[in-house]
Amino acid sequence: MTDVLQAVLIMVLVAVLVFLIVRLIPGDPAQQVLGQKATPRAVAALRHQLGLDRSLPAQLWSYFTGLLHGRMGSSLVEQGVTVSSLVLSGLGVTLTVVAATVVLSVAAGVPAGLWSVLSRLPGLDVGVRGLSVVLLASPPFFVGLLLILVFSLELHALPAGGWGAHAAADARYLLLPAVALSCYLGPVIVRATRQSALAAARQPFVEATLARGISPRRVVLAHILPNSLLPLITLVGLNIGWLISGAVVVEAVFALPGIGQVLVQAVSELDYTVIQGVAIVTALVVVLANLLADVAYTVVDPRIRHGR
Amino acid sequence: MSVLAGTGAPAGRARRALMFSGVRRAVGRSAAVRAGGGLLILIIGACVLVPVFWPDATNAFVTAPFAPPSLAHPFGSDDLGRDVFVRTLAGGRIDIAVAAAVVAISCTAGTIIGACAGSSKRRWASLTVARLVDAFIAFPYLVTILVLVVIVGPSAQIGPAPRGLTAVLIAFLVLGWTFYARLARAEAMTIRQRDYIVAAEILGYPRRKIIFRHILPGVVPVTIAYAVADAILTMGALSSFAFLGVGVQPPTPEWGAIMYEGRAYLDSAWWITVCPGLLLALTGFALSLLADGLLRGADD
Amino acid sequence: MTERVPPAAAGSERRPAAALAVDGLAVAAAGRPVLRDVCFRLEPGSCLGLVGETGAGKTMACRAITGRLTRIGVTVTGGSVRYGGIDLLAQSPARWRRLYGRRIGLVPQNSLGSLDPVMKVGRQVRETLRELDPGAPHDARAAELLEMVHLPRPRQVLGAYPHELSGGMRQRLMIALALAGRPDLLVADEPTSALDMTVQHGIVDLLAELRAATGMSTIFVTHDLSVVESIAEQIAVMYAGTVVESGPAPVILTAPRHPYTRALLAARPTRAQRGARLAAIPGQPRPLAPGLAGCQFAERCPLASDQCRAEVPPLAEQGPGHRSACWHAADVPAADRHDAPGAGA
Repeated sequence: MTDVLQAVLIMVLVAVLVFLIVRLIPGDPAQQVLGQKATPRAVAALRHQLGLDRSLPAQLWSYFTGLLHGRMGSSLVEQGVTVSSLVLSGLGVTLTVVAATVVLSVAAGVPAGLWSVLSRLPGLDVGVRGLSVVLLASPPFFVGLLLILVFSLELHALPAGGWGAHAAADARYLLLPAVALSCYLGPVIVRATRQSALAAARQPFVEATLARGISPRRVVLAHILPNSLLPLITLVGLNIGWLISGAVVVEAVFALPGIGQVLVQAVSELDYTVIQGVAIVTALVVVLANLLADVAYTVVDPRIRHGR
Repeated sequence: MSVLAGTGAPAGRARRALMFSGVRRAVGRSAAVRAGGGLLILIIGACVLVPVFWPDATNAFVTAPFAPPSLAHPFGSDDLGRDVFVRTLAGGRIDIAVAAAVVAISCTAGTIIGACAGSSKRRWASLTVARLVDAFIAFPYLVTILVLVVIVGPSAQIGPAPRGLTAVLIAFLVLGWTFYARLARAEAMTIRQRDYIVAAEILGYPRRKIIFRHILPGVVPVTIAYAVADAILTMGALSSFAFLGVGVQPPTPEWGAIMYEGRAYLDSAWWITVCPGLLLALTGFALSLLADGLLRGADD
Repeated sequence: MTERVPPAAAGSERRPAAALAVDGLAVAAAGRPVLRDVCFRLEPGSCLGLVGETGAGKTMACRAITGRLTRIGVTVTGGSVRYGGIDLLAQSPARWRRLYGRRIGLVPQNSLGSLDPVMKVGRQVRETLRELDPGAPHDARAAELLEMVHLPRPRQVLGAYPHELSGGMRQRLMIALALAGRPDLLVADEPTSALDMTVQHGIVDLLAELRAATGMSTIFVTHDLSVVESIAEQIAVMYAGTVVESGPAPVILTAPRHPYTRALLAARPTRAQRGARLAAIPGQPRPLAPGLAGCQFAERCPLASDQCRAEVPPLAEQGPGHRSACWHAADVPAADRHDAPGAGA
């Protein structure tokens, strides 16, 4: 319950910070959008559309009531297009990429981390750790460019960018961006799995279970694995923000119509309402992801569930 | 005086020694730290020196366009016939200098703010900082940076900074301290519970003395360990900006800007994009080695 | 506690217990000796109390008997451990898997840490039964096992997570799990140390009852002599990595032939007179000091002479089955309940 209250408090603070965005811009935002040559009438009209001609409390009130009804105004540049429609269409693409990245990273990172701890192959652990350091040091956009170079331009196996018209085609467009982003999340997962598997393997119950005659394979799969998966829930939740950041760049490299592209375009056109919309929606996603991870952890770990 | 029995406050000087002995031990013993440090010094040295010896080569058209890597031009040439090797090393100056400056300032400010908030007697002060930081961090990093660039004005310029860099720099600094403040506050709050701090408070030591003598030395290793990872992140973000339409503007060389220009020719002249990228990854790798070694040194 | 015969006794195809012989066992961790010349013998079907202070090497001896030394990076440097015809020091991990549960059962000290915290108790019991007793109907066997260790309301226990059970219940559960494969040797490593006094007695009574019903041999490790009084037929006392005295329990408890045993007896809280200070052994217990010449106990011993500080006393015969490693064995006073504090001086 305190988790939920805290999340709500943070969301309110987030909304206030976003409200301040336009008000903090030095000079007159309306003038900046329209340029120096704009007529005073056009500037006044835009100030009215932004609500800047009213008193600050009135602005804050209408801003919050609008938010609660899901209204975030309309684009300053594209006439008649609401911010929510722009933001939500982009968010769908971005969250698809993020979800694919999480699936890919967990599917590859957990076995790699577990294997590197438990295998007696010499050098395997060092190899896995070295690879994850190298991948972590390479920014996702560079990995993305390398992937385009190899898989699109040399091998002609996958498209270099774009987004399909239907779901089946999207899978092909999704793969390279998700792999590029997995080069960030994958090593994080490998590292955490390694640590928690090592910690779990050192717990006395592992030895006690082995001393009951249970096979080592079963001890790994039924005891060490579930115990080392628990911390990953929190880890993925904490990394959603970073994944969205990475997605913003990766979308630019692969020309995906995600929320990052919406933001980049809005930034280049000084489309303040859209910028506000992207900021508040991405922050909402991050706060909700963390809340969800907390809740999921309490559901999965019996010690916490009963401890409360 | 029985309260003090067994509290064992390490003396200020001893604590400072303690705080650096971990680092010193790690440097002396760990091959990873030596390899990472050596590699980093090599890269920084090349970035500083090479453009000095070929001062004209940075923006001059020295050879045919799209010349593949050769002995004379190890990274080949770009679409205008400029030497990618010299441009990459010149660009490294900006990336490394910005990362170093941003990390140094953010780390110092964030550590002090966090340590003060974490050790403050006033609950509301501590909580205000915590919630504010939470709200800041709730936004995805790059979204915050882009919004801050917009607020500052993408074309703002202060002093001799290259075009487009000022807004980015300010955005980095406005956001950067928050991560350190969160870490430092959490660490300070655990240190505050220890017996020797409680004892010092009971004895009426001035708060400033407690913070600087006893709490900061415990907090600094934690934030410094994060600083190395932050440097990698800052470099990656800075070089991403070219792809997002903000940041350093051409013709000033910067890793991301060079890669963005080369991206159009990826299928015919891959070296323009790949070579600066590899140097960027190599710098990150050197920093990771350093961070891993230092962390392990601080642990034991 | 109860008069019932535990169900496991009936119709079990348990092997007859064999004799366990530990002879000259020496182990080392990272080059430093931890155990030196450990000797004791456990007759088939009897119970041995392995007693000593923390750090005396009891748990290490247990690990050697149960094939768990290499896991913690400790190596055997000499001696033998034989159980029946089996050389326990020469078994591969795969061979140990066949022995665990089926021949040798282990009751660990830390019952909470020894159960998977995120798996319900029932699954852990069934998992063990599937491995050790594949033919039997698991639900019935699980209920039977819980009844055997007098755990009430089996459905609730099986549906609980380990942290939801009390320490005493968990320890009963650990005993049930150790007995699931009907072993003929049970090694209980400080099974009562983490429990309250009253719960301790319940566990000791349970082990005595199960032993009588099944005929298995038992090693009961404890730092508290008074705990083994009622259950052990043989007692081996360890100090600083070696056995200093061993023999039949009644003899050890009344006529010890080693000053350390004598001091342990005097320090038992149950024997102390009301209002009197508990006897304490002067000095600190410490692990085996390899460089030290002579008897390891000499520095704390009231009887120590120059000979004690120069020569290691051999484990010498003092009576039928009674051995003690002391140069002054004959001078150790008998134990009685009116000991003055610090007696033996």
